[in-house]
Amino acid sequence: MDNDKTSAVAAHNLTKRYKGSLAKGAAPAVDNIRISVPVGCCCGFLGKNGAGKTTTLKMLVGLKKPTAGEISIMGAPQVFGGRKQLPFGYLPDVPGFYPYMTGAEFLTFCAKLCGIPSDKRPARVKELLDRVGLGRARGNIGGYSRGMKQRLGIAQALVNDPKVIFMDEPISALDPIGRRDVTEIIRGLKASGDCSIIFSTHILADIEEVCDFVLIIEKGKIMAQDYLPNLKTKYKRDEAEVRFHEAEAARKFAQAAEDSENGLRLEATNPLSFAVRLPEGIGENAQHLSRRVNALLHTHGLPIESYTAHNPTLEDIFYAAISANVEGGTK
Amino acid sequence: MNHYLVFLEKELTENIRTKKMLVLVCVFFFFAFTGPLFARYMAEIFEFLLPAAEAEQFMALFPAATWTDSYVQFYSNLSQMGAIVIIFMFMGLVLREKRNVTADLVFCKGVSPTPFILAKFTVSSVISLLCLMLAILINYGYTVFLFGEGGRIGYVLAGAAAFGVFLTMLIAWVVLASTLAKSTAISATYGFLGFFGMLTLSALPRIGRFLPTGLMTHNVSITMGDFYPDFAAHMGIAAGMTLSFLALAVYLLKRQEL
Ligand SMILES: Nc1ncnc2c1ncn2[C@@H]1O[C@H](COP(=O)(O)OP(=O)(O)OP(=O)(O)O)[C@@H](O)[C@H]1O
Ligand SMILES: [Mg+2]
Repeated sequence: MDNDKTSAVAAHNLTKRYKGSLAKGAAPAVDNIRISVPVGCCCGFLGKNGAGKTTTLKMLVGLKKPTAGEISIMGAPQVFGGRKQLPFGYLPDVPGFYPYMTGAEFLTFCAKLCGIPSDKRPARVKELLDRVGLGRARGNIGGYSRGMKQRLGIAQALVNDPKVIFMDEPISALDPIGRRDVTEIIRGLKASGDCSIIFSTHILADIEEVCDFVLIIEKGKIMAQDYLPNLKTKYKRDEAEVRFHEAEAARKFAQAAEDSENGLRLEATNPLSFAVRLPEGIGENAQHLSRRVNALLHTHGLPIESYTAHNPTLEDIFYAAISANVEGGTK
Repeated sequence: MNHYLVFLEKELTENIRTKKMLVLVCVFFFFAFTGPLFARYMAEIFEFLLPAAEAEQFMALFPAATWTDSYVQFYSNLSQMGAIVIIFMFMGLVLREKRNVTADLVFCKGVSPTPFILAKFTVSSVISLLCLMLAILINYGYTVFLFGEGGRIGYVLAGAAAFGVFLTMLIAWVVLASTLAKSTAISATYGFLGFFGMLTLSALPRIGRFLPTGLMTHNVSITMGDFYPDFAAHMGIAAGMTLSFLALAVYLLKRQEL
């Protein structure tokens, strides 16, 4: 793995130690991480406050100088102070604009900086404004709401038609409507299919909604990095929910489990259903669990309404990942 | 499109729309109008302010006002207030962009800090110099009107040009301060330390003459056609310092993290 050619973004041994902020031996803000985000995916960068998300993103976009390590974006090296125009866009956590400009003027300014020829600029600016839903916005940016600024921030990150777009908490600070709109924009970007997206957040629902790849960072270390379905498999627990039509059958089931020798652990979640688990030390095997449950039901002729194998939520994965020991850098 | 031109356009728009140069225009023009007026009517003003006897004694100490006095007034006001206004106006020039995160948006697009700094310097100094030139022309015209003569226009312009070169150097210094500082208070402190520090050092016997402060203290004699001995050297030194300050600002900004 870590093939830079197939990675939209790759980082090796990336470390950031802030000067002055720490006595000798204190942990670096970003600690020797290895990242490899595949081309074309929408990657959620998850971590608590202060975990190191902003620091990592700023190094990736070349605004902060790594203490150590290398970065590449679409295979091209990202060097601090290198001033090469790489094919990426960046939305800072709190983007700032020139308040005396209109949104269109600001995007035109960005388009000029990105070297878009003058005959293509007006169309490009209009397209971007429409894409983020600012086509009808009037007046100067000074009068924009927070949500409008966030949209303009996304638009400016798209000016150069990037292959990778980095967004630092694009959704976290918005109201429910703003969240939905920005999530829609991200979904639209993903659907258009020609760019990889990496956005940081500490809100799990944001990721579950749009991401297919997840990076989890904790105290400057990457604790998990994989496609979301793979993580779900990996963090699957040997647990299932058994639900009955009637309380009578449920009670019989509980009794049968207690009497039998197969050691199933039951936990009533309500009068009609149980969470069932294998006893400790039996090993991780979902099939094993369903076979035992099935055998018990069959023996006693108990009809059930449903049997649902445990499917870890991102929340389960997140807590499991950040409380685990450091994963060997990557998967 | 060349990045320098893009930034130039942006800085001009900023100055026009935020009207921040209005302060500078007001201060320069105020001194341009009041300088000659004050010089011409100083006697009457003192007469009005002081009891008759004291005013007479006081006036006896001064010879009658001449056209040169309006330049004395103009430059003595401008060399203090003008410099202070310049420092306050430009102390946030670079700092504000870093604070407001606009610098992040610009610099992650692979733009070099060189055109960014140069455009800020160009627009700030060109506007300041325009104000200065207009002010000196107003001062000249008004002096002619009140005193009947105002000196030779060539020398008048030369006196202002010397002042302009000094102001330009001060602006470059403030740009550097603004790049270096982490807050406006610190930026202003660097600005004032540089300005007053240079004034103080220039009074020292040996090194004093290598500092180009003469460009803002000898303007009246230049206006009268008397170029002081170090004039040419000071013009060169000021230009050199301007370039060094700008180069240093660019060097620092290239290495700064945002
Ligand atoms: N300029 C700085 N100087 C010193 N320490 C810093 C600096 N910026 C961040 N840190 C420290 O580095 C660590 C990581 O900070 P970072 O801003 O990257 O976290 P984050 O994951 O983005 O958090 P949040 O969710 O709050 O935005 C924190 O412990 C923070 O205190
Ligand atoms: Mg952050």
